[in-house]
Amino acid sequence: MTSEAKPDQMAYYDREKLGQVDLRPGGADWMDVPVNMRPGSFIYPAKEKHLQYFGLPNPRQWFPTDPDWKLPANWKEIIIEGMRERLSKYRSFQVFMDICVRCGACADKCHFFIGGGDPRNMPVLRAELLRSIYRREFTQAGKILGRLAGGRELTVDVIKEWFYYFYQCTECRRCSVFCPYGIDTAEITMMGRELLHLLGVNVNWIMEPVANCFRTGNHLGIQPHGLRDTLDFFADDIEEATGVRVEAPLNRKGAEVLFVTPSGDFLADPGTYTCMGYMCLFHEIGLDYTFSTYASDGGNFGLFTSHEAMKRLNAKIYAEARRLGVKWILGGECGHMWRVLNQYMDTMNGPADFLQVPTSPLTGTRFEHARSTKMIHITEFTADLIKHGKLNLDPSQNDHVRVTFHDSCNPARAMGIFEEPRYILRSVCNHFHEMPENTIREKTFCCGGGAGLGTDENMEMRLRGGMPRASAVRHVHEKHGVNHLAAMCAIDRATLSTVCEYWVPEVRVTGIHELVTNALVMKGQKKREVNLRLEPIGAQAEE
Amino acid sequence: MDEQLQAKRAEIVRAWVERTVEMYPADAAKFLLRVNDPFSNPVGTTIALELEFLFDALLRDVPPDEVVPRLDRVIQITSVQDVGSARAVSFVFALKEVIRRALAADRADAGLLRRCLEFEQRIDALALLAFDSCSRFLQRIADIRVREAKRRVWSLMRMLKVDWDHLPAEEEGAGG
Repeated sequence: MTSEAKPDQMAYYDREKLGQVDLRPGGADWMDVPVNMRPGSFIYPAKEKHLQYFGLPNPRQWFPTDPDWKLPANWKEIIIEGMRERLSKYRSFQVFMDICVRCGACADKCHFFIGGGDPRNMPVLRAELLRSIYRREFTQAGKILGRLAGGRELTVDVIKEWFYYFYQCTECRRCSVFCPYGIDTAEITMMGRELLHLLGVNVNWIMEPVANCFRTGNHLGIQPHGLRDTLDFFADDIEEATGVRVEAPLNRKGAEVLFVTPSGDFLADPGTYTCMGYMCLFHEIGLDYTFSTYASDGGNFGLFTSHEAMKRLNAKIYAEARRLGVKWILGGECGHMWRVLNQYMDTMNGPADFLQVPTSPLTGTRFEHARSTKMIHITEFTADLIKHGKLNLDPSQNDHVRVTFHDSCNPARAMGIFEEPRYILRSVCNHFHEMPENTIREKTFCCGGGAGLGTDENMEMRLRGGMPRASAVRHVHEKHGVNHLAAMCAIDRATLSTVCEYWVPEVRVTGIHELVTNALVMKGQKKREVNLRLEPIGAQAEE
Repeated sequence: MDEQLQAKRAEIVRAWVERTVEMYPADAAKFLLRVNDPFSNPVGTTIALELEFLFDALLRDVPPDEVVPRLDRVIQITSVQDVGSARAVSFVFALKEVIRRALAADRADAGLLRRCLEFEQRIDALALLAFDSCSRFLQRIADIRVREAKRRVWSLMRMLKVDWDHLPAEEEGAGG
């Protein structure tokens, strides 16, 4: 085309070149391709007030597409010293930097790579973003040979690349399952994010919940009176559906059990129905329990921030257990909460010597595996109730439900909890179908929204990342008529709803305890015609 | 024409799939073409399966209502790749070049050009369906974004008795 002509003039178009559009991306080495900040793939930066509230460095206004990110003048020194400190403090970080042989076993296991095809989302290459700096700055070979030894110089573009890609990792650890050396790639992402935090490079979707949780007890910033209203409102809906009035004890000293669940269950559809499910179950079995306003979130976005942030938020749960004088702690259907609990809580804030080993007051079962943390997962508790015949269940009330189960990454890979949720689902539903073997249990595919990525500005990225999970859901939908996807994680319930709406709109998302309560025959209930969503149930729904 | 294309069907479909996958960087394209398990490689296997169906559909000149659900499977993927609408539908146009190359040896055939142009009209019709499909999926993403935002504060809105009819209606039995 010629520069003199305008687009509405034929001369503007060079007929020779018009047909030569090449849409193929270039084939340069990844180190030579600067990061392209594509809207729809990055997350908005943290607002200043949230960093200030939590005491984090360099609060300021900036945006990922700005040329100048307003980094501290000595940003390079901060990063190098930050790496040095973490290499000496965390043996795992040092080992993970050194032992990767780039065999490629992890390369095609990441949902973002599978669904989006960006090579820098291959876990090996994402780790290489950090490892290349490690080699250059901390190994003799890298210092002398530079790029020949896989090293590269630390520049502002590297920082931008880290921000872009370490916030395209959901820390789901599927790649780690396939690594012959056991490299936990999530921990590499965690280190990358910690280093970025030292410069004030972080995202609002994580920092606002962290600040909220520190201030009010939960990520959403629900204040005590708001939580009281919410639980009472749930009790009204439960009464309308079942005819039974349930209580929701809050901050009750001397209760036997402190119940902690993700705050998404208080506000977000469909998690709210899961919360109603807990309330019905506890009422039915007469559990002596309490919710708390101070510890009103089982989720811990500190995990996606830094080890200090994770510890500070997690400590609130134990502090509240001590204040209320409970005997043990029961946790709701949350995902990453269980990674914190099972793998970090005891080291950070434990042992919880002032509590007792969780023991079911209904069955007498002692949950010995939790004798240090004193906290168990609600599916362990409920499966035990069902196994001992303590619940009156009528699975036909769920006959309109053909359900499959999504193993949430953290309960699956960080605690190996596979059987209890399946046992419950088979007990409360007559139609349960598994997804293909290489997409469930320890090989489960992430929802695409974990580790603080569940926001709306990166929706296209989440939809790409959710595609592998969705294709397995679509398979069981087409093969078995599956119309419900059960998940025991608040982030799953939120983001898989979106993933399904895009890829498999015929399938809706539900929590496990929503289905438990819909099958539960409660003492004093009226004839059950609607479920907790106030929709027709069982045979009526199928007509 | 149809016989000539039928004879080279396997070659054309393979080349078309390769051209389509080239929208991805080379490392990803290798993976998308190599791995055959539909759950380990849903993008690559979907593209291979559906392009084969679409080529056969073009040969048989089947009506749009049979074509659209299968075309949707591909466009549903390309619409969320952040590559822009043009690249999301570009694979349809790529078939023209693939066919011209496949039939290059037959160019002495006097009537080939006319028959080629006739067949390309079917490809153009498919391209128009692809535009439609792409805009439907982009609209679906916009609707989902609104619904997701509202779901996040569902109980709050209900307590405030906010009228939920303002939600974009979920698509009825939408394919894809």
